Amino acid sequence: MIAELGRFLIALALIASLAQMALSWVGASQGGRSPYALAGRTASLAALLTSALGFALLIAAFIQSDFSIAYVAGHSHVDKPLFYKVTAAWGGHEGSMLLWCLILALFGYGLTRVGPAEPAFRARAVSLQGLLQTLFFAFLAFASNPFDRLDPAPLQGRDLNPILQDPALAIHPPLLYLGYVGLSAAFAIAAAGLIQKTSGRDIARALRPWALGAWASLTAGISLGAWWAYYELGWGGWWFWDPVENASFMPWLLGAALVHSAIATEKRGAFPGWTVFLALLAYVLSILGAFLVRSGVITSVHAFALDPERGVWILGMLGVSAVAGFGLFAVRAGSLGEGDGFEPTSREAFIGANNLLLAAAAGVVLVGTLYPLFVEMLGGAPVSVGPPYFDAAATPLLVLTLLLMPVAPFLPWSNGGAKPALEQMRAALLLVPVALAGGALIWFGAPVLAVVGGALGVWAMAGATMDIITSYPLAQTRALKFAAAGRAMAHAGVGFIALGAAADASRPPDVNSALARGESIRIAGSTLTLTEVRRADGPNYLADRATLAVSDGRTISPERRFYWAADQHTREVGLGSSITGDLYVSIGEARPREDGSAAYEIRAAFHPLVWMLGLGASLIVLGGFSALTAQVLTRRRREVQP
Amino acid sequence: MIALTLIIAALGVGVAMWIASPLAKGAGSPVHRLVAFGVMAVLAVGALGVYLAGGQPGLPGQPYADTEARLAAIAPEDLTGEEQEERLRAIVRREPGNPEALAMLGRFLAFDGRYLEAIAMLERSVRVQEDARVLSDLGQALVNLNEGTVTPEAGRAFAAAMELDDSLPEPAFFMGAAAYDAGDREAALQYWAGIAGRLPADDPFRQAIAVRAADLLSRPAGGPQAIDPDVLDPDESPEAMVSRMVAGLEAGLEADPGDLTRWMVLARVRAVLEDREGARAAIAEARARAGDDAGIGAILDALERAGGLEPETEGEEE
Repeated sequence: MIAELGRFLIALALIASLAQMALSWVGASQGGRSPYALAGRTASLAALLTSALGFALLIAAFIQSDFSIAYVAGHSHVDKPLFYKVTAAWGGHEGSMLLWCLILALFGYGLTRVGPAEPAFRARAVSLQGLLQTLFFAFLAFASNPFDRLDPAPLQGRDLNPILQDPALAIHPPLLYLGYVGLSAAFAIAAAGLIQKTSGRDIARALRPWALGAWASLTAGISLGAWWAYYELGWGGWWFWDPVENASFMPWLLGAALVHSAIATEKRGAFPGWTVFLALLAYVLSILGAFLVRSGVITSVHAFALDPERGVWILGMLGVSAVAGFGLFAVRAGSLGEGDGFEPTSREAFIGANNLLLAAAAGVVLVGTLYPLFVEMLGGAPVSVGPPYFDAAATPLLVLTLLLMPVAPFLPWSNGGAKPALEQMRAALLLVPVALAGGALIWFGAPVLAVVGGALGVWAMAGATMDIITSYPLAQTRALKFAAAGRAMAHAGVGFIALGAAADASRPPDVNSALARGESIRIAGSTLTLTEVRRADGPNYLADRATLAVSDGRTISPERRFYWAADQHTREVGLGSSITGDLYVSIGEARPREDGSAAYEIRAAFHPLVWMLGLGASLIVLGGFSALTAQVLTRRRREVQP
Repeated sequence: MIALTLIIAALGVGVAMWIASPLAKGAGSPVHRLVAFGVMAVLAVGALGVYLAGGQPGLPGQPYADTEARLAAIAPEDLTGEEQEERLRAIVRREPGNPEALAMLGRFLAFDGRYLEAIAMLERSVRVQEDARVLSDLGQALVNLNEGTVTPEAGRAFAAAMELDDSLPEPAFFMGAAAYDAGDREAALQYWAGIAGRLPADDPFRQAIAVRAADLLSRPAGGPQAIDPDVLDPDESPEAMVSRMVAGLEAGLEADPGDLTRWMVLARVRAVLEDREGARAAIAEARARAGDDAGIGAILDALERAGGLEPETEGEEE
């Protein structure tokens, strides 16, 4: 019953999305206030409710362990903890695609409530969002249905991939999809604006909150993914330029460029075409990310579907979105209007430069990610593009971005003027901590790039501090206060990330050793002694938990687990966190020694100041939502005082 | 099926009517009302069509609770292996402290080669209630997991099993194997002879252990590698080398005539050299020194049979 009802609800959501597209289109053509526009809004709510109910039914099927549903059988097991039964609903391709569609529908309904102010513009945006929903719901209904059945049903499920049975990874996909799919609203608004021949400034005003919300969510999703990779995969890396990581990083870079260029467009009318183009491109790259993850064209720890047929579907959706979006842009870009001019030392100029650098970085990442695919398509031998390329090509661009970022908030709009800005920044004062940070890193033998990164991180943090000190007291409204705080937090967050990354790049070499009980290793000035290894089985896994006593009195407990239903071993890292960094320990197999004792493979590492990465990401997310709050407050004020 | 059909029909028509309702309300003419009705019909029929493209309305859901109840209603002997495992797991899930269920599931998994999980189940069983048979099975699962090596952990399980019930053949056999692997032939003989002596004469395990013990204990210690390479003469023939080995064994026995395993090696080497009388004499010497130890007697009987050294009957002599 659940499975068939769920399947029908997905069919209903598809048809409702189609109705949303068609009825809103007619409604927009009639001025945006006709019964057709209203029916389009109702269809949008119907799509949201039916897909939400379908998603709830899928979760219910997981809780009941109904293995007559192929997706449940492939991703669950009756002994799995309830929490992971629920999160498995989006742990595989089909379920995560349902979540993707649900979020699309959520944003579609959101557009009907708080979309562009002008009714026809709003109805057109709702219609285009309906088009995107229709594409994805059709893909879900016909090629990725999570309610496909198995007859006869297996007695037991194959369990969810054990590395996905983790709290961070339970939250990571919804946040990531809020980001990816949130950019669809910016796409729909931009495309609708082009169709309606709306001015660039109005389009920017309409899409800014959506872009901000999506970008902040994407930041949170990527950060959680990096954190998960750091402690779950057992190698201590948090970013590896993996193709799937890149697939999320490209829309993030373009999203960062978009939220800044939209400010310049809304406030000064600058870069209207560029802002609209970024809004279109960011979403197209989000679909490209979905293609990379779900088509099987790349090999990655993150890729969770290996199905070329589905890849063709997604490629089709990518094609439709790209052709529709960029086609419209080519035809209607002239209607966006031209902005006022600006001086090279104006804020617009710095935002423009940062935009170019961020877009170039996204281009570099795109080339590095797709190059192996093209080489193979052209019959060449398989190649892989790894960290050396990305570090060499993308890092200099990001370094330049970081160099310019703290200066921009101090520059005046339009006419510009570097002198007053530099006076405000008290540049000499800022350079003191920068020099200290660089000196300290050189003292500890850090690589050149880490020294540069660390110094730039401190530069960004110092700039953000000066920014909030200067601008917050001058902010007269709550909206301006939120905006100033958001900007400073986000910029400081970038600084923390740069400093954390620089410190982590300077970490001491890892220590690998086989330890029996009572034996010790030394790392980063601490002695770690293996005191015991005991069984710590869970409901769906067997585990050996080691206890290592640290010389400062702490204990660290890494585990080695065997998930019997999935027939897979995992390493659960033990972390000893302090203000100086993380002691990071993983345990491997036991090997018997000649004297009959068992020695365990222990890998220990020290990650200095790694907490700064988490703090930095959190500040960026908070900054994004603070800026979003400022947008909402401003919008309310406009509604009250038109 | 009927309930599902009714719900689907109600949902489809309801949602279609809801979406089309603004059109119907705002309709100023019959044509507009017709449009509203058309939209509603298209939505309802469209949703049904999409559903039927892959839907299986006749296939009921199968929550695990139903599967569990179905398996519980079938006699165990009528269940397939997979179903038996599920049923055992269901019992363990319901009664996590049931030592019999844990042990049965552990044995099932060990039989299926899933040793890691089997060990966990057997360990849980003995933690609830110590049982010699389960401890022995635990030891064997540990040995199998370690590709035949009797690890210290397996040794502890076997020792605990023997302490509870020394009539079990497997723990003693594996303890003997561990001693043999460690080079302690005397201890291996004690374990194997001990269990062979305790088992009834018609027990098939007794015969199997005796045959294996006779084979292992009569092999020259360390094999050909045991011959000191410094004293190897490249021109020496294999026969001469074996004769030298026999001489070495005889000299050793002269110094320590109570070394039963060395008598067994000597018997085997002489049998290989076709010195049947000499081989019989070596076994007889070992038998005499073992006294009335039934276990050692069984092993020596097995050695005799393996080398074709049984006393010849009169009929055969003719």
